[in-house]
Amino acid sequence: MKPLLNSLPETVFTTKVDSLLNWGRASSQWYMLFGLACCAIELMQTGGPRADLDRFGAVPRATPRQSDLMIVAGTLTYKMAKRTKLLYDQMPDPKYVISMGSCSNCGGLFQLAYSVCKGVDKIVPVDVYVPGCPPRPEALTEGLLRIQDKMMRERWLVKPSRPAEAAGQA
Amino acid sequence: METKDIYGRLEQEFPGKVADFKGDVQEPYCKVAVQAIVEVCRFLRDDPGLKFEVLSDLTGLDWPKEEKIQVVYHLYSYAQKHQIVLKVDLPRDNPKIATTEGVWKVANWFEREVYDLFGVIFEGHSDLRRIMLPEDWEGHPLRKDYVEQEEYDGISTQRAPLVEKLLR
Amino acid sequence: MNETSPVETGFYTEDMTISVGPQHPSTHGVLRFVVRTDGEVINEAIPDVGYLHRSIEKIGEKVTWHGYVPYTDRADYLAAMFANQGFCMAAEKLGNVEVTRRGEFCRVIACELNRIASHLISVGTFGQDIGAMTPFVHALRERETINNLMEEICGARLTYNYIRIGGVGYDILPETCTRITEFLDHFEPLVDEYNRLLSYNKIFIERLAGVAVVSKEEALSYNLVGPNLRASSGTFGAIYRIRSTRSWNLRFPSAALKWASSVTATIGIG
Repeated sequence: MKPLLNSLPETVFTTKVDSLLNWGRASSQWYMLFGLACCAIELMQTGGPRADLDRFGAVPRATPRQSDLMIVAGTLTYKMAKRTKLLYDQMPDPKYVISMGSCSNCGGLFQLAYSVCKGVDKIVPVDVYVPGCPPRPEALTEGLLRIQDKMMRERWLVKPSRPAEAAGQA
Repeated sequence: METKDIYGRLEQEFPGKVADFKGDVQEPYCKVAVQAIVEVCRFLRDDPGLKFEVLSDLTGLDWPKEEKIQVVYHLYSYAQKHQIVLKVDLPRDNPKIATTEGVWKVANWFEREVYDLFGVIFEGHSDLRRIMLPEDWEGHPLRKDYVEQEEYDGISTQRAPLVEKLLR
Repeated sequence: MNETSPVETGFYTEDMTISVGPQHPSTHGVLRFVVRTDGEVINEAIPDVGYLHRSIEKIGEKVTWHGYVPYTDRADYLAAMFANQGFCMAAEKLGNVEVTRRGEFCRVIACELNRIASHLISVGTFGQDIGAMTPFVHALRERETINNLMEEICGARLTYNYIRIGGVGYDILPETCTRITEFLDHFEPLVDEYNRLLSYNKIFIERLAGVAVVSKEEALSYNLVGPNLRASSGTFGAIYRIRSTRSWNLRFPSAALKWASSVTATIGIG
């Protein structure tokens, strides 16, 4: 038993299952419609006929309980911030966040505003930032592909030995 | 009708309560006394020659040097195709005015907005609470001496300038 | 907690108060309703706004006149040209600035194209709320062509910053005009298609006709404008057309403007 257990991390079998799981997850990212402002219109256009998000397997879901990707599209105000955290907590693990547009990246052109939260990463942890005002559908698609790359790099069957990395995995 | 004539009618009906007509600007206006605003508005809406059925806008202006807050009413009439602007001066430290919600129903939300952003209390309003900012927000932002609060609900309102962050 | 009589429904029911929260696909942005429903019929809906209050009024005190035009874009992002136009017209009135004739024509072309794009979204999402998913995707396809044209005119797809104080930002070239007329020739027969899909659809009419009727006095008292006011005021609603009396500086009964207005009126809104 012992030699087999010891050699488990080095066999090809584990890695392939990892890749299989990750490929399944990356090819069907269901994103939650979290369109707040103008970027929501570009999000709709990205899901539309020309720049089609559906060919990557990404379908829009209205509810956070059934989605694993949250695309924060638009300006986040303080009044909305609490609800954003609530929605993020309602998503099941493993979950990812794309911050779309410059308003959710850093507050955008509303730096002088008193009611705008300067960036959604003050509230939820963000994986990919997509710049633009609003970003083109091609830019958002690129963001989705970066999340796919991130998903493909994750490891499930073999827990890494370093505790810092383990804390950052989920 | 010309705005001058509308003002003439108002002066006839409410002597002493309206004053200061300014006609040579883009949007002619006249000032109305605080106590008479509701009856002036009701007269403007119901009089068959004037017929201002629509309150286009109700906003405020903050004049800190003259220690007053002005509430501005923009009225428009579809039937007669004329418009007028009414302005009311309120003291800055205690701005109170009667509500025109009984005259035009849309004043409900407009007055909530002026209360939210300026702090003007509308007496007789059915539901005076903040409309655009969260309920527990402190301060009235559109006043000229408004200072932004440091943090709200645990979220800090500042963000480090991005270039500095890169240099660090 | 109201109880409806058992004679009407056959059993006692109570009203349920639920919150149609800020994030919901049918709110089209963030808007919260506290809704009192009786089964599937909504008895009362109290809106709760302010989730997208971006304080552009306060920002207006801090930026320059020309620098404020992008903020007007974001005020109504579906009809960004019109918001630009409104602000620029006000600034021109105050500053006694005269716009060139070519600038006026460029403004009208850009704005009416934007009107078509905005109404496509409104018709599409209107159908989507009722449950008709197809017209939405058709509308998005047409909107892509308009976005391309807008990109040729001013460089941006959604928030244009095109109409500036005293004129427009960039000139419209003759090649762009050719493409615009091609698009209009392609789009005109599609209006009938949208009507067949949506406006004259039996289910659409049965679900919407006669629902939430607003009387004329209430509509004026609540300061409704646009199609809501014209619908509630019956056959004499034509006197409530603000656009023809107060909006454009050019009083030109040109074929293009009339045609554009008739197209948007046929789509059902505008």
